[in-house]
Amino acid sequence: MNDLPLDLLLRVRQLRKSFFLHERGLGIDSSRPVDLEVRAGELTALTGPSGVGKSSVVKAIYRTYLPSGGEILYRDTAGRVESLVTAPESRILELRRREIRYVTQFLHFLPRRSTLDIVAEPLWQEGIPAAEAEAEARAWLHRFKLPENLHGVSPATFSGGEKQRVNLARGLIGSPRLILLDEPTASLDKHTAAIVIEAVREQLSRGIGMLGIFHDPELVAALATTEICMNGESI
Amino acid sequence: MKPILDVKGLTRIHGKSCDGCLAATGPKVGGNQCPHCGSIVACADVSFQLMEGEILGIIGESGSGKSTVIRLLYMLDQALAGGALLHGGEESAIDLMALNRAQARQLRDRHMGIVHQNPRLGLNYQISAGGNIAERLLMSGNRRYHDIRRIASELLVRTEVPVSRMDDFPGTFSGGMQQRVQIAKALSTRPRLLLLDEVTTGLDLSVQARILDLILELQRELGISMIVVTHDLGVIRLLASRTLVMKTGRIVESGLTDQVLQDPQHAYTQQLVASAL
Amino acid sequence: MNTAKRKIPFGFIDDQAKREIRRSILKAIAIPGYQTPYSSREMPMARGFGTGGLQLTLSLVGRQDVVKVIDQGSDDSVNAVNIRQFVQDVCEGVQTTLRTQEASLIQTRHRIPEVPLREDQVLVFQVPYPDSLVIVESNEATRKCMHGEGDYSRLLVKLYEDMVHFKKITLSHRYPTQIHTHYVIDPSPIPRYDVPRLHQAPNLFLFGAGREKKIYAVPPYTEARPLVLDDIPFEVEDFTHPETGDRYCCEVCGSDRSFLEEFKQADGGSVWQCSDTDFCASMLEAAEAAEGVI
Repeated sequence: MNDLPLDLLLRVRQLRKSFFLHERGLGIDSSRPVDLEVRAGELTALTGPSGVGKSSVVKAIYRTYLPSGGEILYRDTAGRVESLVTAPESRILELRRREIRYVTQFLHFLPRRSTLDIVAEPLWQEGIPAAEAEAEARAWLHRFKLPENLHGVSPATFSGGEKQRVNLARGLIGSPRLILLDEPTASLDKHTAAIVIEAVREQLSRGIGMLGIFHDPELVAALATTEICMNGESI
Repeated sequence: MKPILDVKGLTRIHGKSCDGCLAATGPKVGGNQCPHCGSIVACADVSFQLMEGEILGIIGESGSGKSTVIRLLYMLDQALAGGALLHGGEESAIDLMALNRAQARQLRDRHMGIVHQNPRLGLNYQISAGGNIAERLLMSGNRRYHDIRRIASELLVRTEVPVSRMDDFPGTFSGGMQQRVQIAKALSTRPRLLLLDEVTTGLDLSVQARILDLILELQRELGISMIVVTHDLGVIRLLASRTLVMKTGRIVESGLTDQVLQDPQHAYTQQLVASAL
Repeated sequence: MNTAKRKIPFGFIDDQAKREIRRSILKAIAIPGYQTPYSSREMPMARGFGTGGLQLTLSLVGRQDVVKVIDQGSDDSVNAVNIRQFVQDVCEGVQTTLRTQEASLIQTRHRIPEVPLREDQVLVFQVPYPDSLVIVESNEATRKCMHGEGDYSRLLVKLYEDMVHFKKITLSHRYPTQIHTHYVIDPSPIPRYDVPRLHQAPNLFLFGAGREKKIYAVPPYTEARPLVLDDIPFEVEDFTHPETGDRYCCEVCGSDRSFLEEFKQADGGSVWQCSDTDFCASMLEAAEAAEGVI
């Protein structure tokens, strides 16, 4: 039953999410059933008007939301196919550490940590030695043109643009197998957009699969192999 | 990931208890006092797993039974029913609920640590900060004075307590520093399991932040498995990868911390998250 | 009015009480170092003056026994003299002695005689505070648990704290001593000098605490180790001159191997003298005899 064609990293079938608010006795449908697939080395774009439930889909894949129905199959490093709907929490945590990364539009970081540590953290999780991780993090921050004198301080005081670049560096660094992008590229300036496109392409070429929510059609055109528009049809 | 602790059906009732206690209490009824016999169900049927190197959060309001769970696991109280298997080490798994006093003490001294909300419960104010750490080392069988001095000073450095204060009495320390000494003491025997009971409650914000940072660093460096009991969602968000939500002595919900906070299922959890701003 | 003179039983204590005390003694010997509770009787002297030791002595003494009583090494102090007199009065036919070697039953306060005891001798201590843990824990129920679990870490912490604050162990007497690898006893206020002499001794040591109603024992040939930190060796009292490094000698008999007491002189100097008066007297006699031979 857990059959997943070999070229697929992730397949989502009829995934839906609804909430029930006990206090008001009210059920809210967040997203209608959606189907999508992600292949290694390719980016699947999730588009559609706001409020249609794109983020809910991504969060349900990441288990930040509990799916209300449907199927999510994932092929892990070892080639084993497992359901992200039913996998135990400890397994989900393991996958989050090693394989599946979730990048939001906001930089969520532990307070009082240096920017360098924040960017390097996903590498620590992957088990890369601290010194190596730090060098790699530095390289990514350079790539995203973050001034050297900011590397050692916490991003708390950074501008919106700087935070966004730190966020993307942290999101793209290292070797996860699947990256879930929840609109991390909203309102990028032209220059940064070019850097992001190049960095994403590079990571795709290394075989990382991505599922991304984008609003900017240019980015979709530049990066996506498949576009799932959540009005219903797939393009 | 291997489990380090397997908790099954942990139950503690204050009072004589009757057959109807469990059915007549709990979140559905909204209370934990048995209407038949008047007993208080402190916790009932608490089951969970703690993985190696994991920080598990237990959240709930006062009286929800979260501290009871900690006290049972640290073998300060006796459970009415249930078991808690501690894995790891050379021996096969040990049921914490089945140990006698001496066995419990030995296990506690060697493999477990606790940090209380109130440092007065965890520290002896008649002896120096170093002496408090020494006590735990001595309990675990290390009797070399110079060794103990060295380990204690290393731990104080690690927990950011000035080593120059090592021979002072804890009563002369600030609240945050007392908490750090407690943590140093708990860590001294390199425990497999660390229990943290509202460790930052009542401290001012900057002190809280530094203690939480310390706990995270320790988890990362030493890979100690921890259970963090708190009523503060912020603490849970920062520390715990998974969270149990308790109410009237029962676990009403459990899940990945971000899921519990962003997609709470139980009415009580929704209320809790909604009231936390 | 015709009042018959009440007959005082041999050994003063009635047989029922003696039996109970003897049972407690047997239990104490069977569990070395364990504080066996017993129902301490009223004695014709105030508690705190050796009633515990006296009850042991009176329960054990038989007509063939030779009893010696010492107080801080001395046979002539008020306490020793009175107890010896009392034993003579209530134990018809029992002999008393000042000589350690002649005694079969010795009651002592705060010293072990200098001359090593034999298997056929019993030493009975008067004990003011039987529980070694009392200095770190005030609750007796808790102390009992600590003894049961062999949890003496808090006594060791006391040693640690001593080292931290004073750079040495400040316990001068009542030094906590572990018997047969488990129970830690308060060996009564004997000096540290006497503690190693409990270890593997041929004779039986009995401890009686009258006020606290406890009896405990160190049986013959039993391990008795002072509680120490591994790298801080146990030290006995030092009788060497701080400058010359010579050991002080007894002013009376010249002994340089006995436990000495210091007597301050009017000129500010000190004179040292054997604490064990019988030992001192024997040394003198031996010296005089030797002179006589010459």
